[in-house]
Amino acid sequence: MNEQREARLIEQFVSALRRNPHAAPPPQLDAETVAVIRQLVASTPTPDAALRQRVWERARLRARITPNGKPVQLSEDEIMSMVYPRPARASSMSLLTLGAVLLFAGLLVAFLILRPTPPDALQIAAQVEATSTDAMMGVPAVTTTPTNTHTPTPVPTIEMVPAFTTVVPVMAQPVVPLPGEFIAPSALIDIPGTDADGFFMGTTLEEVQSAVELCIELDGRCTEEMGVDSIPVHPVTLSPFQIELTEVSNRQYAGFLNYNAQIEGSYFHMSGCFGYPCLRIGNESETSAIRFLDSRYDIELGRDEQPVTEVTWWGARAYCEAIGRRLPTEAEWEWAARGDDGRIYPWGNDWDATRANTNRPGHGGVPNVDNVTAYASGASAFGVLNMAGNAAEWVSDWYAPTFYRSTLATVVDTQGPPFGVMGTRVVRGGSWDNAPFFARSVHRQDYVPENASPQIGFRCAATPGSALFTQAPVAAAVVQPVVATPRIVFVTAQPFYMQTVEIDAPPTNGTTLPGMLDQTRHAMEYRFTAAVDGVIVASLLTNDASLLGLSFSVQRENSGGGGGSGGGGSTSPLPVMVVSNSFNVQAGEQVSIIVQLSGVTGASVPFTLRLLALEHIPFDFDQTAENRLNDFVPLASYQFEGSAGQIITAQVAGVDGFDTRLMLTDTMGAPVAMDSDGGAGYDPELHRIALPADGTYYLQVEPERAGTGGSFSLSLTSEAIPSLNNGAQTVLFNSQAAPQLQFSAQAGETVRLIVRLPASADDYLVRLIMVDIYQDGVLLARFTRDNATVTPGGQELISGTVSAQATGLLTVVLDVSSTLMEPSTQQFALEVAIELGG
Amino acid sequence: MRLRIRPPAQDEEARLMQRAAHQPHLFAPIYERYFARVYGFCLRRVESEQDAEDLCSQVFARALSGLHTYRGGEVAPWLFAIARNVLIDHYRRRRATVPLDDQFSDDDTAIARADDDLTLHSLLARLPDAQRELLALLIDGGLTSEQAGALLGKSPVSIRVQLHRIIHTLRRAARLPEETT
Repeated sequence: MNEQREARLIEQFVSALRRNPHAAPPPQLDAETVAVIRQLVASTPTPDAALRQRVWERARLRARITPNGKPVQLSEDEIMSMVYPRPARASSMSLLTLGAVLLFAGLLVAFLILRPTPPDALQIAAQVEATSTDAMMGVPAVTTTPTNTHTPTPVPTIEMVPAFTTVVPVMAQPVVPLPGEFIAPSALIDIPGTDADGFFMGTTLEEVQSAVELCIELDGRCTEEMGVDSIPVHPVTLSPFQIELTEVSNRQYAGFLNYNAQIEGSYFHMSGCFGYPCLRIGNESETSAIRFLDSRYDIELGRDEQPVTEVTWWGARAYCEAIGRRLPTEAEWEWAARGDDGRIYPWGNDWDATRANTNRPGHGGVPNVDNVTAYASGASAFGVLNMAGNAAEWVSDWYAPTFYRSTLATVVDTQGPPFGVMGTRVVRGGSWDNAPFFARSVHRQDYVPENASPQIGFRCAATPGSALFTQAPVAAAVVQPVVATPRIVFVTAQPFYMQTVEIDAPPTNGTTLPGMLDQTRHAMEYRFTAAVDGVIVASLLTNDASLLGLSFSVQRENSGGGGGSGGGGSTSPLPVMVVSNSFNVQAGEQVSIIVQLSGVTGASVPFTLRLLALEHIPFDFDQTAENRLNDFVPLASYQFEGSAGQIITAQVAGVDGFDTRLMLTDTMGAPVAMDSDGGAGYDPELHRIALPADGTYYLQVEPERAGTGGSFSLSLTSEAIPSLNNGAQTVLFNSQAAPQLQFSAQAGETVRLIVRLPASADDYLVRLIMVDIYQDGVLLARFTRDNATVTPGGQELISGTVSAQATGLLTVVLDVSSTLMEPSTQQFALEVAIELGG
Repeated sequence: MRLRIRPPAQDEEARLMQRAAHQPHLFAPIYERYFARVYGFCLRRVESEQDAEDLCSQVFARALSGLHTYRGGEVAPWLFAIARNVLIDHYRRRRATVPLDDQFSDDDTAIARADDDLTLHSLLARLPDAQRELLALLIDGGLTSEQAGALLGKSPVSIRVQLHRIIHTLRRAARLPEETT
């Protein structure tokens, strides 16, 4: 046989075997060759989950990335001691002491857990611990105000069963139980298909107008514009499907998280759902009922059967797919809610406040949701519960406001538009916090799929016969639903102790705070009032590898600021996610840093928290600043004012090869862009970044490697907004914000705007382009293109006309979403031109 | 024509990589996808689980630190280029004890003279280093001959032919009968 031909067959067989170990060999290969190939492929190792997790943790540490994705400020030695932890070298005496203290602490914990625990006892416990273990470990006790607090957590009266240790042996087969076994998913209701002519989806302008009137009568704030995206009525034909009787509960979702956490490791919720966050947990959003504690996700007491909220669209989709189901399409959702007689509310056409949970703002940070089985009298014609109110619900479709006018809207089993105009997904049903207007079965809302809201939950659907986990279908006639009894009792609450200490604002030369966490003190909260506008640099240091589970969070109280609105004074807390080892503060702001024990059981964990305050340095365009970084000043923050759409370029030049990293953050400290060596050599450069909004921005320079120092210079330049009066302009899109263009026109003058691909461009898959034209801050026109077609270079994508309202400047803002970037440059170019007086 | 709703895996990877460049923890799904392949590649090259584990963590650490060096396209060649460099550094550190043969060689006389230990493991250990590397890239790393060729500066045809020869070498060494056609 020809050598090259056989070589190709061998490669194909290797590839086939990698996909399927039982793949049949090409008949042209002799048996011995096949045997060798099979043996080779079979000898590829299959590493276990523990190894996978271990390697990831080491890689992350080596790269100095925290679980939240931000760099940590640790020296090489500190990192290596965590990557390769040394065995403890305790003397026999100290071991004896340790044993005695742990025994005492263990008895104390057991005592506390096994009896109803008044707050006083918890305080005593924490104080006893603080004076014993701290001293024993050589860590000075924190001597500031002993305001021991604990999250209110009475011992639950339900059966306390450790989630995994007890369950796994019972499950026996398979070794790792299927997720549905852990979750006990909701019952599925059979929804019949529509007849061949379909059902009438959407609504009329008259219905929207009357709903707005009702909304205003009920003191709601609704406008016609909010409802016009559900116009017009159009026929939709659907095949039979199934939908869950109830919204997915916190209990079910925690089961899903715990199932995955035992396989994928802790922090699953942060990026475990198709690479996106699944949901926000308790220390990321105070309204979330699910929190992560002690290697496990569990649920705030009493909220097991409430709908899960704070879940992203990705988190909703991942849950459904994990149990062999899927999210319903928007059309399926509406059909299941409206029934075959086209009701506006699930129960009929007249509003009835007793049949749905709406219009009930939460209080004290707790959303006012009801259990998923509540409001049986509000069931839809098919018997589905809480389609109006309680939690609003994600569906699978992208959102496009004009989709109902599209021919795609009337295809059989429509899946919605191919892409979202604003990159958002549809949300249906309204929530506990909405006016009844939003709970109409025809009403459409949308939300960014990566974001989570206390108002949004979901339920799953299934194609008959495809669901892995089915319960007996509930007949439509059954008004009082029966929810499947969970097979597994989850631990829903355990005491959670947090010690709070008030500290002075960190000085510019830094402060070091020693601390200790263990099973009687799960978290330490450090509170202070920021003394200056600037940056707090916080580093968590430890030599104990078990500390990897420590989470590091910041909560910031919004003081309302000068000339605040409404009632003034202190307003709602503004939670800031634990993402950074440095964060911006304003003078007078209340800052709280929480160091929390998580992912560790039974360990006493000493740590050191270093805090340092640095003032922002005023900076402006066309300036150059020189500065020096070292161990004591590990970051420099430059403050400047920018405007929306402004294109800036910032460059750092390190002296003598000093390697730095440059980050651009917005007013709240959220990163806008970051670079480590986009410039000359290893120097960072933020090249042509479009600022997303008017406001204050900060350029922050840090050493690329912790513990290094040196001198650098920083320069900042800005480009004038290009004028279309000078002819066609080429606009470059990168992953940053929308670029702007300007042109001047006379009052009443008609302007034709053209957007096209440059003639030199390759073929692009253009997904969405949106062009807004403003004058004096007023939106005059919006042109969009949201179909997915491969477009050749030079082709016109958008053209439209607009009349200038007054003589003067008009601003053009372009946005491109989900467009494939040019791989070599990570950029995408469009050409924009105008024709005046056309 | 049905509109393409879901991008192919390569687009998905590129998108994940773009996001990870700004939020490194979002690299986790890429890690999940490639961990077993990179680990297999490392293990085949060092033959010690402990070393493989450590080297594998170094590969992903370098990947995490160098997310900005990814310039779009397929992730596998980028990641395995890092893995190769980590392995080369590893061998350089151990040059005194582990010989490094960076050249391709068709010389299989050492294998032809193999002693009675005919297990696959021992046969592989006797392959020239470049052949072991190629096998590790193709078999354990799951690279295509195009990807491996780009990485090693060879044409895909040359890579395929090398694989063919390695397999026939192993077959001969294992005293399997020679092909007659």
